[in-house]
Amino acid sequence: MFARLRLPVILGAFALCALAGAQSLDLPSLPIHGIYEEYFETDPTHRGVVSMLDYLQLHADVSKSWRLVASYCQVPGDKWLEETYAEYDNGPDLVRLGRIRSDFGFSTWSQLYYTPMVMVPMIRSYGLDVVPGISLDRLDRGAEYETSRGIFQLQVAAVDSRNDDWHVVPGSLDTAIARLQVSLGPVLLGLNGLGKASDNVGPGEQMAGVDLIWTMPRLQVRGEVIKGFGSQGAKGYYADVFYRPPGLARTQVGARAQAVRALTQFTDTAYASYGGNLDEDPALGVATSYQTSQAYTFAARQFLTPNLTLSVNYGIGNNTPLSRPLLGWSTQLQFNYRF
Amino acid sequence: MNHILFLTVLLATGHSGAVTGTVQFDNGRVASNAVIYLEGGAKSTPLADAMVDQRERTFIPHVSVITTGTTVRFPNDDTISHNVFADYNAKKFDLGVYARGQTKRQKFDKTGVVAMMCSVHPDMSAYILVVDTPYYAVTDSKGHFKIDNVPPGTYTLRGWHENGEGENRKISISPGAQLQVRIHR
Repeated sequence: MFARLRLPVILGAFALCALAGAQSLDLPSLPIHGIYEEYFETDPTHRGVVSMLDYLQLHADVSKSWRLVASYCQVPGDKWLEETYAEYDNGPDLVRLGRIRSDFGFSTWSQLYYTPMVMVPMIRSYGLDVVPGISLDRLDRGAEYETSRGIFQLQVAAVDSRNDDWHVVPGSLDTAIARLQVSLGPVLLGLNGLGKASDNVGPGEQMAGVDLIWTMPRLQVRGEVIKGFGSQGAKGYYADVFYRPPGLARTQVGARAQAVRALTQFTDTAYASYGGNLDEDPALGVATSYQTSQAYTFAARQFLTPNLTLSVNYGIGNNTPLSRPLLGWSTQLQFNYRF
Repeated sequence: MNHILFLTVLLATGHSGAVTGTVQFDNGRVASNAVIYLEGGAKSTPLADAMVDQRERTFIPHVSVITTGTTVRFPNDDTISHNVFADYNAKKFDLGVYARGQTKRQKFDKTGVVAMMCSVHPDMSAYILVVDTPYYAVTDSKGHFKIDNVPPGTYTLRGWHENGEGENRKISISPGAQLQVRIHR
């Protein structure tokens, strides 16, 4: 029954818990806050302006240490429950239970969507499985523990990593994820590993990654290298440079170089996620040879107001199903409202 | 929009005492997070501790006042990485992007307004007013303020709000004095 929790049930439970927490703690007002985001985009794969993504997050502090978070996301033709979890935070230690974006490299919502880049990196696109059945744009169900000690930050998670749109409770905890981050002055270095146990559907899978952020005044350089192991594993990297020009506090310019080597079957699945349909056009997704996709993107981002951000990108690269959406001009208007 | 702030200042006690008052916009709305300070008296010394926290994509507090020479801590107590930078006025700095659990520090050695932002999140902003006086306060949600231990004398009263800065006016603070001060943007 719990494995079939759906959005109305979750939001209802969320509201009840928040109300109960507010009453039991005699808080002055209902402590539910949230953020709503909407992304309007133009890109080479669509005609005109498209409302590409809607995002709603609600959170409630039910005590000093416990917080409930529920979020929902929709794109044209699809919708799903985003991160929905209970969080315990006592300062250096943090535990999350529920539906989470497990820490593996730059995987938080902010790291993915609050950049000058309109598109997420190819290696992190929803349709690209780094190992069979596991992409990096993924919501897991399970538990994650994070601890900070000096310059080190460690995250470990035991989750159900199977692709799923609505469930909060794991079916089986068959995937382990670990991340170690070290802060060395202006450098943040992260090491990531994921291992999935074999089951009756397929063999075990492993992937690893290294990420790095180097910041200087006005300048941020970041990148990830990710490799999936096994005969069908994909590998790829991306490197970003973001710069804030002097006297333009609300402007960022940037560039991204990226490449992915993956089975064409996976890259065509990625193409399908941008509007194609493998079932209707099987010729798109039957090849099993490796293909390399490369793209270079130049970007500018302007904070128009605290609630409106405009990003303009221009991309070049080779023409594969995975890199095709990145070529040419694309723009994004991001609206965010906190309450 | 041209905001006007009205100030009522009351010296409550005989010698050094508390100055209290309320700050309002010209339309009658109370001005929370307004800064009121008195110049012309004793010089300030750096604060022993000052902090601007980052939680839930918010700088806390939104407005703070420090004295010149104070070093402010900027801990990241959020669950995501943040950046803190200021590009104008009293201090230009950029602390880079740093993760949860990390703390960066910045010294402020010049008076004025420091408008801070996060280069990642456009909706994050905060202000630090650096002053060279020990007599200052930030208004609460009802627009009230209280400045303790003010000796009688002549001061320059200054007011500041992120949506409007007040005019500067010489005032004489004496026991029992009650002043109404009008401050324009």
